[in-house]
Amino acid sequence: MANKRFFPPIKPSSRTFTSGRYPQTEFVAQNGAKTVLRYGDKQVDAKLTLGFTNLTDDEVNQILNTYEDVNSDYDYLEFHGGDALAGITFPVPDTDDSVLFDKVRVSDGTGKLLLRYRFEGPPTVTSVRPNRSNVQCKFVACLDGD
Amino acid sequence: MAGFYSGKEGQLFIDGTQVAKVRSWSFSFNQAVLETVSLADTDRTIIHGTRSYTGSASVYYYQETAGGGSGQLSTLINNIMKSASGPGDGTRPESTAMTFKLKINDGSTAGRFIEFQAIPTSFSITSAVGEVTAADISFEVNGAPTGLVL
Repeated sequence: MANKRFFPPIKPSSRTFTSGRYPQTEFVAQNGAKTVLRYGDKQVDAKLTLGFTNLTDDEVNQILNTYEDVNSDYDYLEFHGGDALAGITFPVPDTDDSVLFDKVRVSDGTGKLLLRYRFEGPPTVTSVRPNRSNVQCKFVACLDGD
Repeated sequence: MAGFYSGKEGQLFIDGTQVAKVRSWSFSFNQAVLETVSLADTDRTIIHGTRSYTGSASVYYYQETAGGGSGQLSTLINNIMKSASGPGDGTRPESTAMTFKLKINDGSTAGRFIEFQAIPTSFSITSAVGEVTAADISFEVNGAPTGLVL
């Protein structure tokens, strides 16, 4: 059973979100006609990239520990309540409006996660001076079968 | 000694020896900063980056004897430029780092000074009709100053 883990409360300096794709296969005939086989109506594989600049060694260590914790048990990440989504207007409580915060968090308007974020790869740490590093984390939101 | 200082009290030393006829010297300090601005912040936040020091001097080409120079300006020239063994020689030794001491003579024994090792980064000397021949030198400091009494 995959468990929810919170990302450390560190504000990123850049954030890139790519909305999920719909699982489908396209067949294009020689005359250009396109046939699409759609396998589901839910988006999958949303991508999120967080860039952090000039973090202290302790903050970098928190991120690396999170990477190890999430992957050791194949858990997933929750960005709600942290600083990873800082700067995006917080959703109005008790509404079903799927505002940008929910879209990036990949949740419906009631707080339920539609997909589960996991690290797409190990965080990249670039040391720029003593006790200061830049970190880049890439996440992919998976549609779990459980 | 309370008072103001002018170029009259200025002195320049290279490798511990005073340069005879200095027209001017200057010294600059620069502090790089690193941004720590994060998403949702409204104001720029910074932390200390690396410090750097640069300087320059203008020195008259003053010699006391004929022939090859023996003053500190000649020492500096010989340190930064290496004569070739023949035409097309492109493998001469690197320039030598030197110790500079920029001093204000305040009447005390040691005076007030900044001392550092530096690598000269530019040198130009001009001879022109109606002007005293002088050289302009720029240098960048290697590491932090080794002596700082100001």
